[in-house]
Amino acid sequence: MQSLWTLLNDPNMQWIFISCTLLGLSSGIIGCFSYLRKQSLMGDTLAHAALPGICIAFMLTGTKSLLIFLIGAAIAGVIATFGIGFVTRHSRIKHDAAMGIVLSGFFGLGIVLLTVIQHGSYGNQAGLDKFLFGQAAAMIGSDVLTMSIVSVLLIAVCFLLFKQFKLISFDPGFARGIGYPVAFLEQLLMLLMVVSVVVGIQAVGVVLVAALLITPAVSARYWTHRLGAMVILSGLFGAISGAAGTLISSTAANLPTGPLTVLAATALFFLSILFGPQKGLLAKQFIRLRVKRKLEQSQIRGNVKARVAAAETEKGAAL
Amino acid sequence: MTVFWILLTGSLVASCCGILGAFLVLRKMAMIGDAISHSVMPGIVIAFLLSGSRDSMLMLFAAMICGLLAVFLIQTFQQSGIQSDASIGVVFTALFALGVLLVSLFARQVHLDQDAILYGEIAYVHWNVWEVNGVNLGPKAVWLLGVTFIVIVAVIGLFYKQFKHLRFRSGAGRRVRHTGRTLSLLADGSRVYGDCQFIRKRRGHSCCRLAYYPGGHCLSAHRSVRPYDCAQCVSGHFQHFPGVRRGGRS
Amino acid sequence: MEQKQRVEAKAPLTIQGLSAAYQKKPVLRNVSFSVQEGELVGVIGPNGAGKSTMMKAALGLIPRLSGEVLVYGKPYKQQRKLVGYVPQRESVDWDFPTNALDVVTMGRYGHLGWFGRPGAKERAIAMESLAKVGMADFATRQISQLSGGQQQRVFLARALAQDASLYFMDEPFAGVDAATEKAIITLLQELKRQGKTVIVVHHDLATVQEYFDSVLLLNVELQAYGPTDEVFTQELLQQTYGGRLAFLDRSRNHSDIFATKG
Repeated sequence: MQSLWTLLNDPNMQWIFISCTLLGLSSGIIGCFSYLRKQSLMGDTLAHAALPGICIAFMLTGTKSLLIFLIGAAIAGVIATFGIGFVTRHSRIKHDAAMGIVLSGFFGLGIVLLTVIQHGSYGNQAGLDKFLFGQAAAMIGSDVLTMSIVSVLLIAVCFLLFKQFKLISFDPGFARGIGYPVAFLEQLLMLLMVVSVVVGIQAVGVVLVAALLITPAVSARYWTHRLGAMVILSGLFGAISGAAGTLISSTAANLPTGPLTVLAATALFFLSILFGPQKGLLAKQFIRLRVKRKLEQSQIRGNVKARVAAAETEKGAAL
Repeated sequence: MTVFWILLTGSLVASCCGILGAFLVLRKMAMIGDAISHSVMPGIVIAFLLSGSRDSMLMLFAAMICGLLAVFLIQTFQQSGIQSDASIGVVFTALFALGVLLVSLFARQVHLDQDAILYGEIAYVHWNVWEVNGVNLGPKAVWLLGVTFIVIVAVIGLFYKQFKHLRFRSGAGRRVRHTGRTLSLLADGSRVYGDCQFIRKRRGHSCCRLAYYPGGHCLSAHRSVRPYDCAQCVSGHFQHFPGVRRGGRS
Repeated sequence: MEQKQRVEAKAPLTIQGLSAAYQKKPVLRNVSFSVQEGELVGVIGPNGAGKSTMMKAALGLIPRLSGEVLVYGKPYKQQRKLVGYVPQRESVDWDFPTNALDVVTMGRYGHLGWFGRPGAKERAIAMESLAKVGMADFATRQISQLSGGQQQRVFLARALAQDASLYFMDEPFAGVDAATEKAIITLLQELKRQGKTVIVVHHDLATVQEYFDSVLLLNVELQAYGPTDEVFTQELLQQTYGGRLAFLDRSRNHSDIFATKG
């Protein structure tokens, strides 16, 4: 406990802690919309697709700045979404398979580039492989700042366009009917997803950053039937996971942040699946038990009635 | 001879994945291949920690258990009302995170680096040969994969009709639901088995994608399932060759 | 001549040469018609005749190959607020985390502007619309817990909340219970009384004469359009449905016509 306290007193650590919490918050919020639009694995695809973008950005500039990576990854992510759209539209391949194709293609390219970088003569390539699993403690001041600002921006956009995002998630046809630029909004949501994935990569890693988009949203769905509440809860779950992951990982050396954050989110997911009042297992059991008891009671009442009736007919027969 | 063995290994991997991938793509479960390949991670790590070697039946077994666990969890969550996409996402990230955590906690010093599991390597299969009484029978990998391939072909061949039904499980296939359940487990089983096999050979990430990569390609070209399977193997091979020529680094 | 043009310009809906296609197959070819104000129009035709497609193409939900859509004399894009749309019930995921009132409030979004938020006024309008379809008691009910008919009525209420002048309804009667069917009919009559125009995709030939003022017969191309008495005839129906219609012409006013799949 003492060590945790000293950690939190370290101003550098405070910043990292805050930025990871914000990251969890923003990805949790955006994840809600991608879950409701049935595009959960899109986050995974985008995260993998970001890798070649990051590598190329590094090869071109030779610096490890989050902002430059962000731009590279965003471009790669946008190309990937267009690629998926292209494949689904112009062939008989379904969306999931198209995602798989794009994901593997981009990630394969990313790994090849990563290998090239690691074997090449780039000066400060050390730590680029941290992008696979994330190491929040390794972040420097400017990265932390970028990450926080971007996260706050993401949250702000979701807040302002909540109505639009809600409508295109529920009924895109109707949204188009009342004149919303649905294609633009869908692309915007995708872009927000790309951005949240990219800022998350340094903290959580390419392979696992998708979990920040998926798991909190699924968990939140167990607690409420209202979108607003779900979005807030999902953000909260994400923030808790991010905070817990960062804290635990900084207590010991060699503990990557990503897996810890994801496991924290998964723990929350299991709690939700058990105790969630709307769809949770316990709630379901409870309702079933109550219905069963009601049924039994009505049956008992029915039996009593039947018995009384039978007794009366017997009486009648005896008379 | 070396090149031959490497090519054969790669081709067998591609064939196994391609055949199973056809059914995955048709069942709109392409991403489950991805999920399984991530999910076996804790199994591999635990087996490694227990046995201390990188090449054991235990590892295969543990990976298979983990893969089956992942499939079981995904299906359970799906039936409890979570979208299939999301349940895949939740399960594989959790298991993979567990695996990575185990590696960083216990196996960092020893030689089970993440690279080996993540990217795979088949350029050296010919070094690890199976010898019986001093007679060289060829690389172990080829034997294991060959058996896998035969098992997959046999299972698919025997239950071809039922598997085809599975594609439409939501509709007409519901009548054969009971057989369906068993079959889908069987399918998942063989799928997992295949996955584990090539994780050992090509270690996962980019290569497990072979399972649906060729699947996706062929879907546009072939309408019936049967030629689809054959074409799948072929295209799987083509997909694979560039990887081999890259020196197995992929 | 000039006066006639002015009347046409004021028509709630004028469609000129509308064509649309899914992939390469044209499903709607060169459809032109003009709807009079205050009419209930039934769009009738066999499965795959392009009824829903026509609606979606007119509303710009799917790209159209050619044609022009005028709403009260101006292009549809300028007149969106005058148009209400009730999509098919299956077109959305009813497991979405929201309640009936919330869905109906979505009907007001078009009037709210880009960053406006629905407030008490919007909720009041939504509540009123829900009451009109007899769903006021279900306002806070989660939408997945509504029956099919109730879901359909929620969609109708949302269209009402839009406060449009021209309504498109895609198969509102499909798979609903008797209570909902009655509620919809009452609502259609009410809309008509208010001078609004409603275009309904319909598939139950037995009720066409009872419900609609005008009928539009469609099978990829426009077969006939006009007042129900003139258009809803054996001959024209035969032409629209091809050989797929069996007649049981027991009475003179064709009230017993059954469509069967040949």
